[in-house]
Amino acid sequence: MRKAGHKVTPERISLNDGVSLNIIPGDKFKTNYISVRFLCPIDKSTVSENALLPYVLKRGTMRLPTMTDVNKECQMLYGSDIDPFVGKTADTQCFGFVSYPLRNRYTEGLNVTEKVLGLMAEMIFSPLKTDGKLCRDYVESEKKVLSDRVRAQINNKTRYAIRRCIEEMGKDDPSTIPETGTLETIETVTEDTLTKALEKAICSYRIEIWCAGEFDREALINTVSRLFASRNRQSTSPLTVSQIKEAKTVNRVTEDQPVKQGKLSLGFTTSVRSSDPEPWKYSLFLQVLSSSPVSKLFTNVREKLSLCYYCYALPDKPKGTLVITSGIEVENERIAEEAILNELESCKKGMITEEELEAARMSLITSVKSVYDDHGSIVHWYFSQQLSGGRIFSPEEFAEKAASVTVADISDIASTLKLHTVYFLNGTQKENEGEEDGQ
Amino acid sequence: MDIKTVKNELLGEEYTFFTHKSGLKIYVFPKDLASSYALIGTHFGSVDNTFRLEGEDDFVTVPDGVAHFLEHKMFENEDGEDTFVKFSRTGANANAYTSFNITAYLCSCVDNLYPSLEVLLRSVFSPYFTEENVKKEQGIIAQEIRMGEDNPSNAVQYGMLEGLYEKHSVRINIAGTVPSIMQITPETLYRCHSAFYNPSNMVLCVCGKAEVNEVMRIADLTLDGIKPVPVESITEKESNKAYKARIEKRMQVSKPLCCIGVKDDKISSDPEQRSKRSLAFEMITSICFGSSSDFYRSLYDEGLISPSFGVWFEHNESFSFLSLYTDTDDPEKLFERFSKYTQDGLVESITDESFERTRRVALSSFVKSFDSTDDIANLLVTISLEGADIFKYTDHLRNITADYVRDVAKELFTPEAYTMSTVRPL
Repeated sequence: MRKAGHKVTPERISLNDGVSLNIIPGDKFKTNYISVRFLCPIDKSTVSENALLPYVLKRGTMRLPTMTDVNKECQMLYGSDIDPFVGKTADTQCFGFVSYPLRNRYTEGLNVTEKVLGLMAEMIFSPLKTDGKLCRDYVESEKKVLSDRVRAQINNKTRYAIRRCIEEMGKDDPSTIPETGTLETIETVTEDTLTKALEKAICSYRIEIWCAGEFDREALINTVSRLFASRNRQSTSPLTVSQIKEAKTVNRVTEDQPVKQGKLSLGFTTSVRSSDPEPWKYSLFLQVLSSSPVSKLFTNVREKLSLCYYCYALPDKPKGTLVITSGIEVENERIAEEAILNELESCKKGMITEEELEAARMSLITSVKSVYDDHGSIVHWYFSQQLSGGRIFSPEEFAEKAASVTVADISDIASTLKLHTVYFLNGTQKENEGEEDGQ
Repeated sequence: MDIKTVKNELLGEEYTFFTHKSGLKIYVFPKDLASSYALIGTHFGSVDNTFRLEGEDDFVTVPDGVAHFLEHKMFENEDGEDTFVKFSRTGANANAYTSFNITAYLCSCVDNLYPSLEVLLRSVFSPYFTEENVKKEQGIIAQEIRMGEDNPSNAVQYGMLEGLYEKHSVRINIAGTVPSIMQITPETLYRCHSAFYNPSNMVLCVCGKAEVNEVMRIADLTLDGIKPVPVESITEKESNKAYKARIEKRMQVSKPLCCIGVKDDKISSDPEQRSKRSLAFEMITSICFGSSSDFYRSLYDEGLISPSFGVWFEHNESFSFLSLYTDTDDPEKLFERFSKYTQDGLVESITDESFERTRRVALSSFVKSFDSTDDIANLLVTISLEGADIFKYTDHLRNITADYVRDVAKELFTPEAYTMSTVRPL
């Protein structure tokens, strides 16, 4: 059997000012991977337009004017859905399209990948327009959908409690601007402003095109160049990351909501970033604290103290913040906070057994090497390093370096964490409230 | 021992299958990826709450949530060392889940596959329950249940099942309730374990860099001396008439959530027939309600559904239903549109053209699931526990006709089979 996990390094080709094509060749999978990503500094004045763009563009093109036409075409391309997305990483907004077309050997002779790339370009460069503007009905309809999505954030309490903690940590920081914008910023969008936003995105946002899988390299470069390289480009805005300052005193916020479970989120700042020259140290610390099968939070806060079902740490590595979150009985708020802080304190003091360290190393190595097992993970691996601006490591290099991290290294990393905000969502509902009413 | 290797030309894949002397069915599926994946599943889920062992006269009903509770307890061992600690030495990630029909335990690793497999099998076949460790777990699971109860989309989907079923245990939350799990004792758990965690009731799949001889060696090592224990589990039979037309709950949500259920009682005793009918459900889902359907577009244009709109179905030997989920400002109007469409227009939307488009989508989604050791193992074990064969699905894909899909649609959509569950804002 051929050795799996063979090393692949993306090839990066500059097509135009701020436009790059990244290729990761490989024939292990039945699918290929294509994504077009627009990147810009997140900003209140443009955030909602950018968030709406991929969704409005997917509604229809000049050739395929309705959603039904577009989706039928995707189905004929062997179910190659083209998914719009919007997200953010630290202070950067990222939006665009992604698709996993089947490789040609499974598609009864049709070159699906090339057609999907063409359809994606068609959505971007030739969307349905009337009088030179994006279709008003589509804009209004997607505004409603996006507004509903913003309102629905309250439905998922776990995510809500994390988001609220981050918001409280950096009140005027760009990273706390939601990737969708707010109800107010969505409301101001019109077909005029959105049409201009599209032009701006095409001409002045950084564009990263990622293709992973089996391609005819020359043909791919030619196709993508033809589609993206001929535009007149203006210079792109640099993607920077601002700092959230350490808190002088811990900021405590409690919010009541009619739910049964309390949600505790502890927000920390750290001076460690993903651009750090030795990023594996932070990764290994996170394994010891939260991710390994015998992590301190799992073993002690959940298993020994029986306080919760989930308790984990969620880092924003480019930003240098970390949230530890858990769902608990409301009366256990103080006990849980103390228990979580105790575990962090153990890390700071270097109270880590050889067994814990070894488990963390092995778990990290497993997860790092597994990034080869799907296109999305390997692309994310390189894309996020590219964005952080530090040196780029392959999964093998990363795993190798992680093997030499010591307890003292982890203790040093843990010591950089400073508690900034304690957010508590206080559940006020009792047993049997809100139960069913059948007919 | 009969060892057979089955190939599939379309996929360019093959697996080896054999039944171990303990009765455990074993699949070895070679795959050239970085991580390997082992999954063992038992035919014991939340619906199996009433059963008797061979030689017993009466059926006994166990507390709600026991299958899930047992799943949580299987990683504790008599030597006092948690199974997660054992896995931490092999570098494997481990997990487990409980559904309506099955409980499954899994591990994935990039190295040390066989030591990890040994840890997995020893854990699953070595129960160790005490008053103390049961009590500890009650605290953890109570928080898991609370988390679920605070989740409106869970609430609306369970509401749909409560509306469809009067007695069948699929209407009960998989994890049970906080009061029901408090009744669970070590004895309950031992009884369930001896009934359902018998190799003859289970399937193992090892997918990745795995060799048959090594997998067999580990099975011999860990399953020595376990004898089959026949068990009889019963669930209530129900007609296709929905129990209640409406289930309503109130929670803190931004707008109403709604889940329409369609109950089905045409359940064949032949697993391959069920597999074929499942494929018809999949095609109906896509042709009649998918994003390229006129129905979807008109509701989307009117703002009656959102991108959260989704259709899912279950079709197995115990129960069968199809369900639509969305958030919407006007659940009643949506239900009215659904009722009208299903009586007039739905069957007609299954044209030869829409059928061919959807056949390609079904083919593609099946092929795509063979890109991950995780998906392969889960699919293989689930399908095998249902009694069917994974590669025969390609035959169903090749042989299914538009007429068959239309026939299934005609008998499925009858108004007395419908229920609607809603969660409205407080």
